[in-house]
Amino acid sequence: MRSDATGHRRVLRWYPASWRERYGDELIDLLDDTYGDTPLPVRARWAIVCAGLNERCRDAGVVGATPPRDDRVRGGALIILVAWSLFVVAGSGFAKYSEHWSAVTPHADQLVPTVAFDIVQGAAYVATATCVVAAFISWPSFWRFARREGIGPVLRRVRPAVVAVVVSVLSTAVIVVVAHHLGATNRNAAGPYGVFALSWAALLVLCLGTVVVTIGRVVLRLDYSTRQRRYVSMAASMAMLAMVAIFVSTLVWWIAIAQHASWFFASGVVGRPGISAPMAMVVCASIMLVGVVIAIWGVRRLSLGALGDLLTS
Amino acid sequence: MKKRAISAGLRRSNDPSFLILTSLAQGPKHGYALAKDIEEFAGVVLSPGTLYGAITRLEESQLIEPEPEVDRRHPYRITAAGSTALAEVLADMTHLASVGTQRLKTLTWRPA
Repeated sequence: MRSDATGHRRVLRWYPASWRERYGDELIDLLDDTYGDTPLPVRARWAIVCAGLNERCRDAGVVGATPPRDDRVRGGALIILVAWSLFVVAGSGFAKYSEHWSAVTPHADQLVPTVAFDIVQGAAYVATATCVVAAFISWPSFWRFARREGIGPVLRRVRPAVVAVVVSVLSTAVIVVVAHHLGATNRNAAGPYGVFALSWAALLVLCLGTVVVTIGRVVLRLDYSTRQRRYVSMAASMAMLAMVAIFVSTLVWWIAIAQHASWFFASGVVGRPGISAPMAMVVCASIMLVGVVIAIWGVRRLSLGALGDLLTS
Repeated sequence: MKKRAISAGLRRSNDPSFLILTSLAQGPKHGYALAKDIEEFAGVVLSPGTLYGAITRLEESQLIEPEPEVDRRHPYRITAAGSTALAEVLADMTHLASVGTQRLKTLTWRPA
């Protein structure tokens, strides 16, 4: 490791450790030769950030044409986990927004949205269950990893996720207590409670992101057997199908409510003029769409690795 | 060989991988010398991030390999597989160039 007289070495943090170890000094030499003692121009810095993140994605098996089969399966499963985290965010928003929809929808028009809503809930349970199953499948690998690395280093690695979960639970407990001390009118007002609730939601999203990143960083260090890879691939593919079902059913519910009870998206008063494309639904559906695209990309990645396993088994 | 070349990003004349192999066909070079040579013969300025991304892919594909460190520098040289891949891509480009040239010669209409 050479000295960092120019400060150029700081950009290496965008690259994965294995890459830094192999090419880090060379890249710093090139930066020193090209830019001398001056700070890196914004364009060069940005190009390095992009290149570093690209190397991280390759390191995770998320992109790249020729990663080993193990990396492809791990990368594919992690992509689907990221997609599912988007669905958790969008699904939570949808669940909150769609509260009490049946109370203002004419009874004769409830069949289609009810079926769609039930599918959304059922598919969400299925996807959550597949995540739990994938965690169980990964447990022996995680145990081997913990024995190999030692408990201390492993705890350090998972600490961000543990902190995120504790923060989520505590903040949720606080908001539940606050909400119970407020009347229904105050809870729905766009006052301090609204700001508090939004901050809490943003904190949960941040915590979810932290958990997903931590899981990713740990999973990248696990070794999977061929059988484990196959089961993880199946669980992840099942999660992708559940996400597609959630997305399609959400759209069906949206269309049905827009056709028969559009006031739900506006004042909520039966018979009053309504709207068909409320911002909340547009945002939720857009996030879900991005999630579906990411999940399909993940399954494509997975299937290439799993196909290789089948051909050699 | 072609698959390996494609996986290293060796497809178009402005691909960093193609430019690096072309530069190394002249002899071993380190990162800075590569960037300067490519700028000179192709007029393409490769950012350090792009250059080392391409070097990584080419080394993974065994189309180039590092030489022993010289004066803190890490030169790279083209491998036999790299020479073959470069020759194949150049042959493809030569073929395309000759087809294009022939068609231009027999052009019966004048573009506006």
